[in-house]
Amino acid sequence: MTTKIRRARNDAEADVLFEIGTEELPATNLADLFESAGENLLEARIKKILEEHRLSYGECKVFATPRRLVFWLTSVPAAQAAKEQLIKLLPKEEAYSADGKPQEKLLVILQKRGASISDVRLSDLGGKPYVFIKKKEPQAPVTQVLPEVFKTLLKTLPFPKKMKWGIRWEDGSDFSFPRPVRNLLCLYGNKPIRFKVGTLHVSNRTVIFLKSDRKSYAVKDVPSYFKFLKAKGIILDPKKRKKKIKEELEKLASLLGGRLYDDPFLLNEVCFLAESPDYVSAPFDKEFLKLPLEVLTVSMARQQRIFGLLNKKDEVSPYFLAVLDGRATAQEKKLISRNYGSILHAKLKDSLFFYKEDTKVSLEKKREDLKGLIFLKGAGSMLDKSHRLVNLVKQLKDEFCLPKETQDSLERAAALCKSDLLTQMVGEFPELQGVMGRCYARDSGETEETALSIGEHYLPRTVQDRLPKTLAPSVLSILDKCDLVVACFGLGLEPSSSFDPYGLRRSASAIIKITLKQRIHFSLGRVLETAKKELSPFILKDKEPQLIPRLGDFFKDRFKAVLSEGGHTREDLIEAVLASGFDTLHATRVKLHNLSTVIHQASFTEAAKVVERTVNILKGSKEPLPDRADPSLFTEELERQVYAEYERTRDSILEAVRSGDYAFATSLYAKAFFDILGRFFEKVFVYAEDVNIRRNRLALLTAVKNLYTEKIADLSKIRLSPPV
Amino acid sequence: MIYFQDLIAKLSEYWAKKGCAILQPYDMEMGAGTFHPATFFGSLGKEPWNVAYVQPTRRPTDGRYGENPLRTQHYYQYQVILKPSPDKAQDLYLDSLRAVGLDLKKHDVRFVQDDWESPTLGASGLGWEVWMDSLEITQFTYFQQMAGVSLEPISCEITYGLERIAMFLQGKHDLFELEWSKGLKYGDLRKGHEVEYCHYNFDQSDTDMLKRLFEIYEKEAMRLLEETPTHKPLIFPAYEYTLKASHVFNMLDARGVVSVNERPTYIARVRNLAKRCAQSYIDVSLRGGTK
Repeated sequence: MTTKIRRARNDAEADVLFEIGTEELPATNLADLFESAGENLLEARIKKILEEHRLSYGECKVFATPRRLVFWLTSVPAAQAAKEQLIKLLPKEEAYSADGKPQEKLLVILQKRGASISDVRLSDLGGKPYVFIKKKEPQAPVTQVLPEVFKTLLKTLPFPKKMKWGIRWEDGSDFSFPRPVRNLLCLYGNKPIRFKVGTLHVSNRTVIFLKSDRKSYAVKDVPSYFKFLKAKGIILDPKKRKKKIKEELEKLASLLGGRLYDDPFLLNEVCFLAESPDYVSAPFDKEFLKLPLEVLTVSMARQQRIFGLLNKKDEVSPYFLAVLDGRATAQEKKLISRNYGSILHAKLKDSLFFYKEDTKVSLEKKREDLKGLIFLKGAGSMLDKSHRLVNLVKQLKDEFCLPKETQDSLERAAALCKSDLLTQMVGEFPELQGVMGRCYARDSGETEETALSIGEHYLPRTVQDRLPKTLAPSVLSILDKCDLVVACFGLGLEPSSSFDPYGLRRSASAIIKITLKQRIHFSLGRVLETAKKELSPFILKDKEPQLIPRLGDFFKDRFKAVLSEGGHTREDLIEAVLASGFDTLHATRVKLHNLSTVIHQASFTEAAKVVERTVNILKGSKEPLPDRADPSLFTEELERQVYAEYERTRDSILEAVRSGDYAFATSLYAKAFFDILGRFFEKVFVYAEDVNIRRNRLALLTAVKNLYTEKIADLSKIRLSPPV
Repeated sequence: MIYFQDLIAKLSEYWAKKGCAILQPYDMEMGAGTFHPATFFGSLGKEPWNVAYVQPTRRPTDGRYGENPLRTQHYYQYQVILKPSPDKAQDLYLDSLRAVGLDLKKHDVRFVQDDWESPTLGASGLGWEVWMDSLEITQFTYFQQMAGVSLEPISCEITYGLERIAMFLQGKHDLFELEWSKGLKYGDLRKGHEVEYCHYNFDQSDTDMLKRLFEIYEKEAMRLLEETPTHKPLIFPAYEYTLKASHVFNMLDARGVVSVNERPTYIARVRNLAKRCAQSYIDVSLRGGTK
């Protein structure tokens, strides 16, 4: 996050501090900016501006609390960096006489530009000598540059949503920011940089707003700014603040004999809801423990930004933990936590109300009303979708080798899995979709497998989310996502390179990951075909013919991405294996792992060379070839030998492939063909004049190549290391 | 004891001192003080506009048969509009809480982000839910748009939940236990109504009638907004029919008879009326017509 340029301490350098004092900034925006992977966009922005303004610095740090954004630069010199520019004046022959004397024309131009003859540089341009002058850009003092840097920063900080509140820039345009800016501080060492932004005066004053009390203070210099805020209990650095909050909450949790319910999103958010955090905990009524864990924790997090507590058995304990802003006395905490508790009581009572209302009508009955809920414009209602899911389970139960009981409970889950979208609880907390379906299914006596399948069929909800744990929910999740992907492709809603509004890439990757994790054997092509058939009334006519091939390409890309995650497997090997088909995802990965264990062995390289050479020679042929080589047309002994090797080893290679021992198949293949084909290519001229002989030879080579590439991998895609 | 009625009087006294005109509630059913013409029309246009008023508010789906200590289908909002929004809006607001008798040092007061939107009014703004010890007691919004029109200058809207603030003042955990005045409880006045209205809103209302009413109100609003050679649009009566349509939609929603598909359509129909009212209002103001 920081750039360190070690430099000798220079007296002409000082630290710079910008502070943007605001009304409370949106916590989730700040959390996104500071918690997302990669570069901090605020830091990137100021660095870019500093570069444009030729201001160098030692370190650059950005801090944020709900009420301030702070930019801290160390060792900033007193003026802009030097910059020289070469300016082309005129061709040398016009500037100088033949004996090298400057001409009048040159002297006039120099005078006009305020330069002297000593500034002149000669340089070739397009083979012709030209006269240039070196011009130095003025080096403005830092006190002049900082206001420009700060204004540009205020105008261009990257926030997703900004508002107006009535302050304007000099040019009359609105000053916009995520929330109103009320105070601006700018220091260069101990020197306040004073200027105006609209009606705001930039100065050396900072504002402390704690416990609803707002006061403004003058700051002497940069170090005393940090000291002062620290003394007020403010932790400026979000990373430190988050760490502190987590530690303190965990301490409180263990005092209560439990463990903090882990909610990283909530932790990120509360970190930006307090700049001077303090902590309380209190019990709540045990009667609410009859609500499911997810309902309790989501309700606490969403409605009050408070944390739950788990006991040793990972069940909810009847306590909550809260982060306050501003230090409170023990007496104040007692009152505040009591208030938090009674509000939690009311909120959980409401959740109980929803639960009671929701269980008045069964999921089965609710399902009928799904016809009023659109799944996807053009692809019918949620009721249509649930019918399709049931049909998919019925038609594909053997494809997925489902045991009898699983078939029944999965069919039931497919019918009921969308009904909870119509419950009040999901209306209130949309993130509980699936979870509520599971709870209500259990309550109405569905089998545990049905309930679990409903509950987990949305998984994984995000890239990092967990996958379904058992077979039935895994299959339902796969079918649910296949239906979405096929529907979107069938309606022309394919993702573009930068825009994937329906999350199709994530869905396809999820299908692959679930399949691999559960080691489910099924034909992807068959499942997509069946999904397509179910969706046929909704699919656009012109999308129909190319639908399956396009889905194939799409899944191939996703499969490549999933397989190369972590970077353990060579990409060219993935490429080679997928080129030979990937209809059963699990088997394809087994093959890939099997082959990667032998990729460094001589037999693999030899097999790859056989494939490479046959592929290369076959590239030259466009003519139709016979299906198989005819031994009676062989004219050379080597042809007969290659053919004999092919006949001799084919079955054992295919047998090795069938048993999944691709490494063995590879060594058989290399042993059979590497030497002999080497001699073959040396001695036999493949492209013989006689058309029948030529085609027969090409057919023989095709058979040899296909023996490997059709069943195992297209090794011509392997990068062979050059011979040493 | 600071009675419920004292709270209203103190807020009015405070905002009157700050230069607000203290208006009266609008005499129609509405889902929020924002629907009051003093806010809807008041936030449009350039001239300063500073007003405050109580608005009884109806949200049929929020009813809990009087069993929830914090949620009811009918409650009282105190609404303040400050146009243009003053630099010290937040502090003015916090001072108003002190003025009614709250000791803010003893509470955890937070400004929690809220990107406010009213789809039926085509209105949006940025601001916060103000939380006191994790309970939302106020909605604080810098309006950015009203009826789809970008606003200039920006109004600041402060909407207090009176019952919730009174609960802190009186140390009560159930709004029905609040003391309205000496010897009279909030529950004495409101509980019977609350329970009956929940039965009516959720179970008893005549949905066919409500659907017909929606059509009738919408048609009437449209008719009033028509400009013909002989009739100028009657904006305020048209807006009243918009409010009526909006409330009828809320009633249908509470009965659960608005399908998920129909919902956006109903909302868009109300918004369309609101937008046309606002547009006519702006047109008339531009021509120097009456406010």
